Parts: sequence; C-alpha cells; structure tokens
Amino acid sequence: MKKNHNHKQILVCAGSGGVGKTTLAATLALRGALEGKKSIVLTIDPAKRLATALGLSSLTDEPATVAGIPGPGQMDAMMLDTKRTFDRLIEKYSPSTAVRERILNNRLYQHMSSMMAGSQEYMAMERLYEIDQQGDYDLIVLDTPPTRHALDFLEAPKKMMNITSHSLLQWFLKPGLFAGRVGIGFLRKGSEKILAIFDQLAGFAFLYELSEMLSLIESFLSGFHERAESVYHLLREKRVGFVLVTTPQEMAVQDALYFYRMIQEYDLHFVGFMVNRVHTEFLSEEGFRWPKISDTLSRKLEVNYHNYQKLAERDQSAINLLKKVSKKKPLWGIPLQLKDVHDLDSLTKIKQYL
Amino acid sequence: MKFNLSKLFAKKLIIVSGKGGVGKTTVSLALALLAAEQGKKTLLAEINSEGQVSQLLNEDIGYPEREVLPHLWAINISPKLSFEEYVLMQIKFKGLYKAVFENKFVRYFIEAIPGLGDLMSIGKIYASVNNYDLIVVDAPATGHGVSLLQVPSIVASAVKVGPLKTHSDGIDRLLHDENKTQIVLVTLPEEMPVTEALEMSAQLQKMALPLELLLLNQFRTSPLTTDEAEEFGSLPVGSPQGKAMSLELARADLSELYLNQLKNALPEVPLVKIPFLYTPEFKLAEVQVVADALAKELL
Repeated sequence: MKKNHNHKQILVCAGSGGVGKTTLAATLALRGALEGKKSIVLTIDPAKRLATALGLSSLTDEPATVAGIPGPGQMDAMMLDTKRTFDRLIEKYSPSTAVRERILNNRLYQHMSSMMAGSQEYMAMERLYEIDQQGDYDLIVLDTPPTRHALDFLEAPKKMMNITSHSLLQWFLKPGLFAGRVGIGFLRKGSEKILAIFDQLAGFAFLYELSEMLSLIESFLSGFHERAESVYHLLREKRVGFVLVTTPQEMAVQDALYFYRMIQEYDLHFVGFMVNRVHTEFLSEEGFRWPKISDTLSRKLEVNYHNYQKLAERDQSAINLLKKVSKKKPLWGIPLQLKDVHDLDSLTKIKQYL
Repeated sequence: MKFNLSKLFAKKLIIVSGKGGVGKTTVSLALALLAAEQGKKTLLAEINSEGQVSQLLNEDIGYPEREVLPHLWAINISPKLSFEEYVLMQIKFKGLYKAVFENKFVRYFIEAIPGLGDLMSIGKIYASVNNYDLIVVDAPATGHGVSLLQVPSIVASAVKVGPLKTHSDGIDRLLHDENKTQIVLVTLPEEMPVTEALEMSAQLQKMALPLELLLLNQFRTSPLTTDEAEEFGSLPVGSPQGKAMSLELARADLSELYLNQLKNALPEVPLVKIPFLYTPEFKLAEVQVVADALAKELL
C-alpha cells in the first residue's frame, strides 16, 4: 500500500455493512499518524462504532485527538452527527437570524432533518469538504455510511442539487401558500389540481408546516447548491482515493464488485480492495507431528483444521475473483484476529497487513 | 408461557433488524421458510434491497409480491411504487396520478419530503397484513431500521386530518400492538454488533415497541472438553492446526462472553443461538440449516 496512496490526501472507505469498514478506516488513519502525518478519521455511524474501535468513550462532531500516538504524527477522530451538521449549515447559510430561528424551531425540521433524503450521506460529504478546506490534515480517511444502496453517498450531492434547483419551491411552495385555501384561486389551474390532491391526502395544516420547512430551507439553498457542486468535484480529484472493504463472504464480495463497477462509472479513483477476516493461512495441507497427544484431541484438531481449510478455500477464491477484476490494483488480505479489534494495540497489529 | 416458534408465528408481523452484516436476510428467510413449512401463508418482505433474497432463492423478486415456494410469497418493497399505489388508492384515477405525480417538479418535491419513502414502505406492509397469516420483514440495518419504525408516529403527530393521518395512525397502532407485532434483533458474538443491538433495544423500549427475541448468529461452541483444552494448552502452537484451534477457541470464548453480556443486559428477552456454519457457500441449503437450528432451539 505504501506507494499507492501516499500521495492521496483523502481516502474514502466503502463497502457493505459489517465488513469492518470503520476499523480499517481507523487503521489507515493510524498508519498515517505513525508515519508522522497528521491524520483524521471521520465516521458517520450513529452507533458510535468508531468510539469503540478507538477505545474512546464518546466522539463529538468536532475532531478529538486520539491519545497514545507517538509524535511527530497525530491522529484525530471525529464522529459525524447528521443533525448537528445540518443545524450548522442552516446557521451558516440562513439569510437572517429570524429565518434561522424559524427553521430550527420548525417542528417538522426537528423531527425530520435527519431523515431528509440522502441527508446522512450528504452531511458526510459536507463535513469531509469542510475538513478538507480547513487544510489541517495530511490525510483524511472517511468511513462511509453503512448503506444498502451502495454508493448513495456519491449521489447525495447530486440529489441535493436536484432538490434545490428543480424543486417546486420555485413556483409552488411560496411561503404561506398553504396557509389557507384563500390563495388557491389566484393560482394556475394545474397547481390548483395538485394542491387539491395534496389537501385531500394530508390536509393543509400539515402541508403548510411542510412547505414552511422546505421553503425556509430553500432560502439558504443557493449557498448549499454551490457547496454540493464543490463536493461533487472534490470527490473526482486525483488526490481522493476509494478503498473498497469486504469480507470473503459471497454477499459482501458481490457488493464490493458492484461498488467497483460504480467507481469506474463515476470516474473515481480506485485504490484497492481490502479483504477482511481471511483464513488463507490455513490453506496448507501439511500435516504436523505433535509430540504426544491423545487420540480425541488429535481428531478434533484435524476436524477443526478441515473446517478452516474449507473457509480458506472460499477466501482464496473470493480473493482470486477480486484480483481478476481489479487487475493491477493492490489487494490486501487481513487475517481473522484472535480478539475483537477495539483498541490501538489491535489496530497497530492490523496495520502490518496493509 | 415458554417462548417458542408457535408463539412467534401466532402473531401477524415479525420485524427482523440488527447491524449490517449480521445475517438479517438469512434469519428472515429462515423464519419465513419455517412458517411456510407449517402451512402458514407467509410473506417475506425486503425493503428497497439490492436483491439479497433473490440471490438466495435464485428467483427474481420485485414489486408486487409473488409466490416463490409453497405458502411462501416474497416482495422487494419499492418506496416509489408503494407511494404510487397508495396515492392511486386515494385518488382512483391513474391519469390524474400521472399528470400530477409524474410532473418533474412534484417528483422532486416528493423526493425532498423526509421519511416519505419509509412511511410508504412500512405502509405497504400494513396494507398487506390481512392478506397473509404472517409477514416477515427483513428490515434495514439498525439506524435506518429505527427511523422506519418511528416515521409513522412522527407523521401521525404532524398531520392533523385526512387519509395520510388515518394511514399513519393505523401503521403506528399495528407496530405497537403486542398481539400482532414483534421485533426480532439479530446480532453476532462481536463487540460492535452487540453494542448496536443493545442500543437498538433501548431505542425500541423508548418507543414502546415490542422486542420479543434476540438471535445470536454465528455462535461458536468450543470443540474441546476441559481436559482436552488443558492438554491443548500445553502443546506448542506453531502449526497451522494449532493456530486454527487457537482461533476457534478464542472465537468460542468471545461467543460465550457476548452471550452472557446480552443475557445480563436483557434478562427478560428470550435469546437463541444460531451456530456458525463452516460452509464455503451460503445458499438456500445453508439457510435451511439455519432454519432447522432455529426450529430445534425454539421447539
């Protein structure tokens, strides 16, 4: 891995859920720090996995320095809080304090901002962009959301752009429109029909609240739109590399292959595959002469070894398949560990395989 | 009453959730297979998935549902199509739907409404509940799973009148009905999945949603007796066989550790172990093995 992405300043770790993305993202940041860089790992996970992985009791959405890294390097970690990032964006782009207060106090906003389409993904990108712009780090590692929909986070900036540039907010959701039926008479025929249907489905009171939220948000969206575009371009820069994390299990490998195709399609820079929890060290058929050993134990050792060989063969064919696809790009296999990986020592141990 | 399969299958809805990669799809399919084997008309519902069940069954599963095995139907719920279906039910005219909802501006507006896709997906399940004896939902991973369960009550409290209000209220009542709905959490004997399972159970409790069963998947039991373990401990470990056994014993220890941790944290929730399978492939046959293991544990 040494030569391949040292010059990259941003590494994005993607892969399906439960493959160890967070752990490996942290390992990559740790590796950078131990090489003397100032690195940071950003994680989005609501279950605070990184906190566990780094042995920290809590992570905030501000960078915190991981203790116990020998200088001159430094490793920071940050947990992304979608709602707080959203709040901060609103504070930043609101045209006035009044607008800001109205948004933040809107009941629907309070409940729903974290559910907004693609918002988690978008906020991850947003925070990545912010951190990159601040320029404090030599290496930024992003752990992506555990999405079932592969590269939702790549679509996120585009989705936001769509919503902000095409939404009916322009002609349909002027603030106050839903305040009562009074306004409808003045509207074009088409929208009257639409409004009537919306009213029938949800009632004007709700639509008013919804339209208020969306139109308030719209009031600062021009800045937002620009931002989405910058993020979109950032991801395509040469110094941004994508690492695909998987386990040798079939479903995870299928996901990784799908991600790989998407990365090609989106014109992103692929760094390599990381195959986590492999058993390939148990491929060998070689017998072993034990000093003096009971029959039952000997048999059980054989049976267990046979099980591990089956897993090793599965892992090897998964690795071969990925190698064939990724051609000359590197592939790292990380053996299954004796213990859960949740502290610096075990992260350091994993580092040797990269 | 002891917790068993008939208790599980006596209700209408099983929602299976857990961290990504813990085997939610496998467990959902295994439960659905068992229910179908018992002659229950069963629906297995994935939500906007990439087709995991299709892969396992080697059948193309989409929207609406189709029969895949005797008594077993499967669906991959599309939020978009369930929205269309819902609106059509309300306004009755396809032409009008097309004119209104396929308007570009309206579409982007709809996409921008937070949680609407989730509401429509869970709404589709609500709408199907009377057509089946049992619905097994392969729900999204923990975080998203929680918002899926939460969205009906949020909408119900925000919308004051109209069909959307009635709809959300109905879904929310179904989810909170202990006689009809139960949530099954799947986890692994590893730190992070266990942490997430405990966090989710706390959230479920806060939402007053019924967590009925914890499944500890990929459980490994030590292959050695105490005497053999002692004998093994005195041997040099340098060989691959020795290393494989050390790994296996370490994993068995972790399995035991997390089993106890879960039992202590949630003493009132029944907990069932599913053994780790040493198979190179994971297809329908392996799901059947998991189903058999579940059936044995839940006699």
